[in-house]
Amino acid sequence: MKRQGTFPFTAIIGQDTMKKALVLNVVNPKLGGVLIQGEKGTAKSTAVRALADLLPPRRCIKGCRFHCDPDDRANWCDECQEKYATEEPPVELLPMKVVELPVSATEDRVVGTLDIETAIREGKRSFETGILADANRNILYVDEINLLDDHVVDVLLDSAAMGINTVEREGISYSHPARFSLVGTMNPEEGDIRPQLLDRFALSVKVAGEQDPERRAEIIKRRLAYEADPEPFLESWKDEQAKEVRRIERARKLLSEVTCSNDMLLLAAKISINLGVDGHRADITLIKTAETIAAVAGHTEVTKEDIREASRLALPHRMRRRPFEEQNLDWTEVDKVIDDEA
Amino acid sequence: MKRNLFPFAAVCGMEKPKEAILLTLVNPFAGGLLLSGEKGTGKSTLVRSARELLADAPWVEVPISITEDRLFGSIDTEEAIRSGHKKLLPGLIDEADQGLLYMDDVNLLRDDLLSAVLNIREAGGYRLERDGLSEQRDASFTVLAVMNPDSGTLPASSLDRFGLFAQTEAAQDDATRLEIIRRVLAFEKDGLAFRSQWAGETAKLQAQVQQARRVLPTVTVSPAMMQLAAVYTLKAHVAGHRADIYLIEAARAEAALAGRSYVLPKDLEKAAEFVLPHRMRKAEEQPPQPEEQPQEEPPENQEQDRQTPDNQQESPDDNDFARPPQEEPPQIDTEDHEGNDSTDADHSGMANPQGASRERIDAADLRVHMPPMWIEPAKTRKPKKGSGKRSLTITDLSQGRYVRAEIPKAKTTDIAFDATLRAAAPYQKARPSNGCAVVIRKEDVRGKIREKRTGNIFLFVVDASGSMGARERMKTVKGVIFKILLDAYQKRDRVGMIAFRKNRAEVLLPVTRSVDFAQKKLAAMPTGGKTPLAKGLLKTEDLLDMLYRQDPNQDPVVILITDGRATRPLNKDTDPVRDAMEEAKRIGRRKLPVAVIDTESGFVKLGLAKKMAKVMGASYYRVDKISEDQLLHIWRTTAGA
Repeated sequence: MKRQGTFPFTAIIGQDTMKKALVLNVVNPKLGGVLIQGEKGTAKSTAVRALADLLPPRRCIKGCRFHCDPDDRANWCDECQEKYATEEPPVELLPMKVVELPVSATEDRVVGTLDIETAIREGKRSFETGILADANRNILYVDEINLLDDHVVDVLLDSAAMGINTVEREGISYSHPARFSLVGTMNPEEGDIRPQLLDRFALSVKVAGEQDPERRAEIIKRRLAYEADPEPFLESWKDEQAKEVRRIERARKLLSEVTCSNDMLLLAAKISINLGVDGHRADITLIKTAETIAAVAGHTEVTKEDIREASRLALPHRMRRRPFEEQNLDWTEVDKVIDDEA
Repeated sequence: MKRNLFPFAAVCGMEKPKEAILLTLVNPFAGGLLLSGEKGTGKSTLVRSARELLADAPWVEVPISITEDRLFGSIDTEEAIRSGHKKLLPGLIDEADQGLLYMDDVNLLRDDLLSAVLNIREAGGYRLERDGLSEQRDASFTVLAVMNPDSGTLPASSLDRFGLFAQTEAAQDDATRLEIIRRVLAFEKDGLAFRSQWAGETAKLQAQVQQARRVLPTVTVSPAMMQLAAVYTLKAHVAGHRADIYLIEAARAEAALAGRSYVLPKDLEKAAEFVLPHRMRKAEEQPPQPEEQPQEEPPENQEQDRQTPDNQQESPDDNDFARPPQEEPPQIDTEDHEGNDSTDADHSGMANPQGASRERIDAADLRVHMPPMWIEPAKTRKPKKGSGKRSLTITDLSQGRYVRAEIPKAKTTDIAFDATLRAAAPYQKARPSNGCAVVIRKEDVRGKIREKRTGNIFLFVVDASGSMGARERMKTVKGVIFKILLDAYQKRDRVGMIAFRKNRAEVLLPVTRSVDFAQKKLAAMPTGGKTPLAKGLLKTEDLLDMLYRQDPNQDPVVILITDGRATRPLNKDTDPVRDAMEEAKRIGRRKLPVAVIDTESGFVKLGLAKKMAKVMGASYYRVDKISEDQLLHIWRTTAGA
């Protein structure tokens, strides 16, 4: 069955934080993904799938099954390293993709396995790629990520940590690059997510249903219009979509020029120490997020306001959990650190 | 794949872990290294970066999704198909010979594989019996393992077999953190440029390691130093003699790194910081463990990583090692517990209602630690191998981790192609060709055996009567439950909660995976009224029945929290305590793992909860002996297969 396109990203009403977080990850694929938490029916999955239409094309080595970046020699797969050791690789433009990892996926499908056909036909052992190979330089999307099998989470963590998928199973010994933006959605009422996996997400957002009656009505109207006849609906949003694509492209170009002063780096370190977050990932993510926010906003120097906005996205899931505390975060602590620096 | 490694020298801080890694690289006889640290502290980055310091030895990475054939080796199917000969295709153990075997997230690796690897390392070889191959293989390698204690502990029996132990922590000062951010960002922006900036430092370290490896064979240990080593290990009350050897070998590596050919006391002192923390025990400790757990070591080893900061911050003089470790089994008297102020403070807090302030619960920090709590497994059940992890269930569905292959008993759709190919390969020469390179017959077909981690069910049965509200006792109880919840949260267990007070018992929380929910329910739980203990137990039985219907293989763990003073009978004229005892007996007959946490306090103690624990065959704890500031850690010895 062919899917008839997706609901346009720009037609989603409200949920601005979620949309922002997703866009930031498209602008900066090295950011590290986002976890979206919310009740059912809050457009989580719609938004992620809709993202596919906004994804920009990027340079890939032609014919490489991991779509290696021709400009990032350090992270090439073995095949490209060997083939293009001395010569320049051929390049093609391919759009970034949203690769879905279904909750029921088995480990061998995720990491890859023995290619049975080649084995039986030719008597040779060769590697059949899995979802992680597909996900390299793309967005890896897991719906209901909190329900993912533990051992699948384990292998995800493994490659998310290193950006490399190492396979030593079923007679196969292989490793390849697997750097992806992990995007997960979940309904917290259906169970928690393991803390180690949580920490792998650069950003986290919570979404709730729209509370304003008029806006609710508008949501219903658009959804019904789309379902009744997608074609004209998509057509009517074409301009908005194109505008968003241009905005993303502009931000991507600007990102490499964004700089971050020492003061801002220090500010990130202070915020982390102040909040007592685990490890160093918070600091680094905070800066990367702020840089991306700056690029989207169109300036090239990270400001305090960028850091403030970044903190709302990068920190919520990294606070130490306290007993019997709602995770309604008090931002005054963070703001105090930011404003004290004036 | 070639790794784009962060330079070892560019890793900020972490002097101790770095030293431990260098020792491991220099001397394989020091027993390998286990590096433990919380998420995001750079432990994996550091260990991986060590790869380039050892240029002339193999470096082999074991992914956690590994299957046995790749670890131990298997028949070379290509060769077998081509020539009909059985030839070994070496596994990672062979590839790591004379080099390093690196395991990330080692506590997520299958217990049986880890234990096999450690066995082979100690024995220096193994006997391969697979796919019709039968060979004795030599294997000499060093193990470098990394773990995050948040995702579960290692079995104590495995812990002890790592020669060295070190811990990574996040830097706490602005300047270091700033430098870390700067370097990581620079590395991410242009890895190659960053690496070339540090090339000089890297070369220096490489030379140092190489030089030390050359010097090592000449490093001698005087009898006096051997004696000193023995003093160290004796004071740490370590089990067996492994520690002595590792201590001396690590000290030799220290000497070699310093360019000396003899060991000084300071070498031993430094080495002891890595060799002793994960094996220290208290003198004559009797762990409250059931007889049928022979392979388990005393429980403090499980939490060893939590106690190392002490050893790292203070200079490790003799007193340090003489001091009892901070963890003790709950049934042991804690009076001689020096150096653990938090426990003392807590006890005084219990005696004095004002002392038990609100902050106490809030301060229940993940970093603190405490005796593991043992719940005796029901007598009829076999103890599980490799406890301390989630329960494993063999599944029939095509789900779960593929652990091994077998000849299917019935028709299977879940075919293990790799095993099938291995089975068919040797016969290809003899079989008439059908156009394919491999002819597979029915007898070759192997099916996959899969294993799934299910997590346990914890059922809290909480007394919420008026007596529990007194003297802030409920706060303590909530604190204890919270810690068990935290543990459950990390291990993907499910929890349910029943509360009883006034004249009824209710299911506060149906069995759920959401620990968040459990917390909210628990926080909002009011106390007051009489104690319908029998009703609470009756409700528990109902819930257990329901769970049994859902999945007969599941053994819920029941945790009953009460003072045992039942004041409300089942019927009008019955005796409340006798009713409760009757119900307790019935629960006991189910042979489920049960723990009773007794909340009785005051001068006059009736000891009813203890009696009840006895009839239920339950493990028994007193809430005031479970220090609130310490992490409650339940061992999953309980889950039946």
